[in-house]
Amino acid sequence: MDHDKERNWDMAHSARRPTIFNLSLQPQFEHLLSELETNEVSGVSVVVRAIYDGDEHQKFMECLDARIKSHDKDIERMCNFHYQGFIDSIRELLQVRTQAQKLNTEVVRLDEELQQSANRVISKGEELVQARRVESNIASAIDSLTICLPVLSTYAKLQRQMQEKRYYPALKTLEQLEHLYLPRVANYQFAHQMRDSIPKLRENIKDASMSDLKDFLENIRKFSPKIGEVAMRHTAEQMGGDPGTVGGIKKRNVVPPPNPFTGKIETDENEYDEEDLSAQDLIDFSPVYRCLHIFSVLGSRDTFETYYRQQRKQQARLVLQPPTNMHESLEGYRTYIYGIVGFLVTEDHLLNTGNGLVSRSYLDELWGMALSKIVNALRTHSAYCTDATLMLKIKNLIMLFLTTLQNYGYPVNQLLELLTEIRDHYNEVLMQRWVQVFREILDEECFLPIEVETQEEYDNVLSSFPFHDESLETAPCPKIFPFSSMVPKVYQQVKEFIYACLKFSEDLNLSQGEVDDMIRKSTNLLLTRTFSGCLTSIFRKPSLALLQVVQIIIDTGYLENATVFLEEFVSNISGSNRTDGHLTLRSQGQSAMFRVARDDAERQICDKLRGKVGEFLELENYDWLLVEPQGHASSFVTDLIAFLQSTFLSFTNLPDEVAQQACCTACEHIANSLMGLMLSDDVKQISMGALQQINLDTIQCEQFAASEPVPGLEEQVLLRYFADLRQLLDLFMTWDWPTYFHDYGQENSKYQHVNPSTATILVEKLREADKRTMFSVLKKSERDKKKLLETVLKQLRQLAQTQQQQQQSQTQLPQSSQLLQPQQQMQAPIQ
Amino acid sequence: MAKTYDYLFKLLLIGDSGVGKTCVLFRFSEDAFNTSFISTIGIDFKIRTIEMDGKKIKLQIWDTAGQERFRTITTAYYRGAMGIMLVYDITNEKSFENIKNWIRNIEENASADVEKMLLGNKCELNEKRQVSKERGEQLAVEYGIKFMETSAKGSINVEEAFYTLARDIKAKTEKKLEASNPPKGGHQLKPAEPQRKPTNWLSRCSLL
Repeated sequence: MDHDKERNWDMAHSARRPTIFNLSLQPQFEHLLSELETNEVSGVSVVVRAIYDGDEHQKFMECLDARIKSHDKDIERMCNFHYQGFIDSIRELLQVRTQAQKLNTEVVRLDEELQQSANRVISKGEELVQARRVESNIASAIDSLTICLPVLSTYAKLQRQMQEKRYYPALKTLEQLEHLYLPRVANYQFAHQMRDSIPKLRENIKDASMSDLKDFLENIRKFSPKIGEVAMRHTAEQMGGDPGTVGGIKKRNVVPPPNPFTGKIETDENEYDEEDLSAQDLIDFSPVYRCLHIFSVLGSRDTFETYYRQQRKQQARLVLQPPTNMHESLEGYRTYIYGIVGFLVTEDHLLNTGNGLVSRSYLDELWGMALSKIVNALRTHSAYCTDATLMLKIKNLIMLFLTTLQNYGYPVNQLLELLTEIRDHYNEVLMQRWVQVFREILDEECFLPIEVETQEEYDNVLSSFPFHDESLETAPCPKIFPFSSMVPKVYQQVKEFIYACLKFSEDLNLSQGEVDDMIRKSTNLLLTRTFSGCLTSIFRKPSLALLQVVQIIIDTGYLENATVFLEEFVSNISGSNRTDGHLTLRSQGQSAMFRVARDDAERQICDKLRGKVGEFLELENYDWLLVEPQGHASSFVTDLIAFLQSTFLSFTNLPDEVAQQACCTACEHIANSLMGLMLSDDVKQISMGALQQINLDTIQCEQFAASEPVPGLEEQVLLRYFADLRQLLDLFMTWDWPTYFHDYGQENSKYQHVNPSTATILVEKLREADKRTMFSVLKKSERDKKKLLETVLKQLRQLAQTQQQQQQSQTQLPQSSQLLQPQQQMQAPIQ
Repeated sequence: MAKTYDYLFKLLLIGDSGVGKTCVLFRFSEDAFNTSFISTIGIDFKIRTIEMDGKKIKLQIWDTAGQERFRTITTAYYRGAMGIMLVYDITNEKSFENIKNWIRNIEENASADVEKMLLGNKCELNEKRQVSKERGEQLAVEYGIKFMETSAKGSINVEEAFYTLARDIKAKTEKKLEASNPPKGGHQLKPAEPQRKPTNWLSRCSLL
């Protein structure tokens, strides 16, 4: 500054000086001086040169000196001029100096003050910064945590659900975790771990739910019978109480018609609900659903389905395996059937609720397999059963089983057919039981007409057997029924049997016609086979007397008459409304039931009678060489006739034709036996006396035959049996050979029945007897007699021979026409 | 023809219903026993051949119904009978008491020389006994006939009873035969007819 001032000063002086010097000095110097006065260093050198180059150095020196003197004068003037100002300035400067000092302290103080407060601010600021940092840290931590927390809580939930075995929610949670939460926290370590563990968890869930399912399967196997039992009980309740009573069927038959279809549907539905409830009540199906869900979620539904079905099929196989001792008791059947019902009800329940786990086709297939096995098992086992009561119970059980399954929509026709089969077996069993019953009745029976002492007893009999007889009704009290006590007993038993038969048919949903037919068929069998069989075995007892057989025939007759009532009884209890025409037709068919027994009895009576007659004939002791007859019939014949008479006397209650048949049999047997005796090979000779004795016996028999021993038989009928014998004996008694030979072959011949060969045998025996009396040959009459005998014999033989030839050629023709031919030939020899 | 027997004896079983006549007969003819009671209706008979002293004897045994209602039929058979078994049940006092009625029946209907015998049947039921053996014996002595206790069920004395009766009849018959034809004559039959009554008379005398 000072320099600047100086220059300014220089400048101002220079400008004014040239004006002064220029007038006095040359211009050239002036120029050089001004040049020097500029502060240009380079100019100095130039000026210097310019001076050296010129010769005017002295001049220049003088100018220069002049110049310096002007400048000094300037400075002096200037100093004078500025001095007062200077002093003032110094004074002022001194004043400023103190003020500056004051200000300085002031500033220092302020600075200090400022320094202090700034320090505080700085520390606060630092604190603030620290706090800010903490705050932002916290915020970011919170953010992170908010993201992570749901993951963790979800994971925790997952764990909990796993623990609580709520696998399906767990699976859902897992999914959520995987897709929703885990991506948000992908960069955390734990998230990686979780992600890695997810498939494992899935597997775990699968396994766990599978093990749950296994538990369930085990459970269900355990509970199946219980379910079945409950289901069947429900059905039973539905069906309306105990179906074991006879009345039940009528009631049940009456109820359905009013509401034929809708009512049924309703009940079915009701039942459905109940059953569903009960099935669910008993068993927790959730493992299945869960498992199914889980597997479908996991995409392996097919595997699960296959597994489940396979397992259930195996269970089905086990369930369908009947216990080995099933046939022994109802309990066995019950267990078996409950098991099956339980199984099927469960499957049905799953069909409805299992979301396709159990499909209709699978179930149908399973049922098809099961049905045939059930049918087989039941068939085999029931076939062992010989207890009718048990069979009834089994039938009721099967019926209940069937109804239950039907309600669940299983087709049960095959079971119905099975029931029909079992029914046949049941009837067989009944039959066997009644064999015993009949046998007992017959064993205890003495086959005597019932004799009642009091009216009460009389009424008792009437109450158990439909019988009405005016004369008996009015008769005084010791009354005698025509039949034995077997009749009401058997009648009652047949009724019992019909009841028992019917018992099986009730609830079988058979039509009345079918039931009727069945009952008739079995009753028919019972009477034709069982009862007759029992009677036959009674007949075989040697102790059974003829008259007891008679009573049996009478009894069967009354039983036969009672079949109409049995028929009515069947119609009544089976509830069928048969037209009268139908009824009579039926009852006619049914009377055949006792027919077999009766036929047998009738045959038996003839056999017995023949046997007795035979026994009498065994007592025969003819003296075949008897000279003179006893004059009366042989004692065995009189005994026989007496016996027959008393026997036939007791035949009065017998149906006429039976008595007649028996009587004819007896007469025929006697006649044939007497004839047989004479012609027997054992008898070599017969004297005329013996022949006469036989004639006497025959007469005795003929008298009996003619006496109408049984009513309604024409005299001639019985005598006809003795005709052969009579004609033969007549021929020999009268020795009427000419007539015999003459009339031979003619229809009205007196000796029409005498066969030439028979006569031959007898003549030969007579001849043998004659030979023994040797001495007779001497007499002429005897010789003639013998000669005649020989002639007769010759002719007879001839006749017999021709007859034989004729018989060979004309076997078809009746005897009379056969004999026409030889008769013509015979004429000649006789004449 | 060879004879199948030497003698034919007709025997009759009588007694109350249920005393076991049929069973006794059944035991004798079939050697069997039937527990079931089948009451005899009317009359029936069985034949059995026995051998005694080398003789074949056919026994035709008539079994009568004990019941009153068959009485008319049964009495007709008394006449021809050569031996009669009176049967009672030792467990049934009444049947024993009735024996005297049966004896009366015999006296009225049977031929006088008929052989009789008293049988107390069902002797196997000793615990139910109502009639002591002594009483039976005493009654038999009273009527001058033989007595045995039998059991058709236990097969006790049945055989013996019939053999005893048969032996007695045989002895009587043979004695009669000897008496009737000491000389051997050709005509046996003619005297046989009138002979009947005298024998009856004789036997009646012996009874007296």
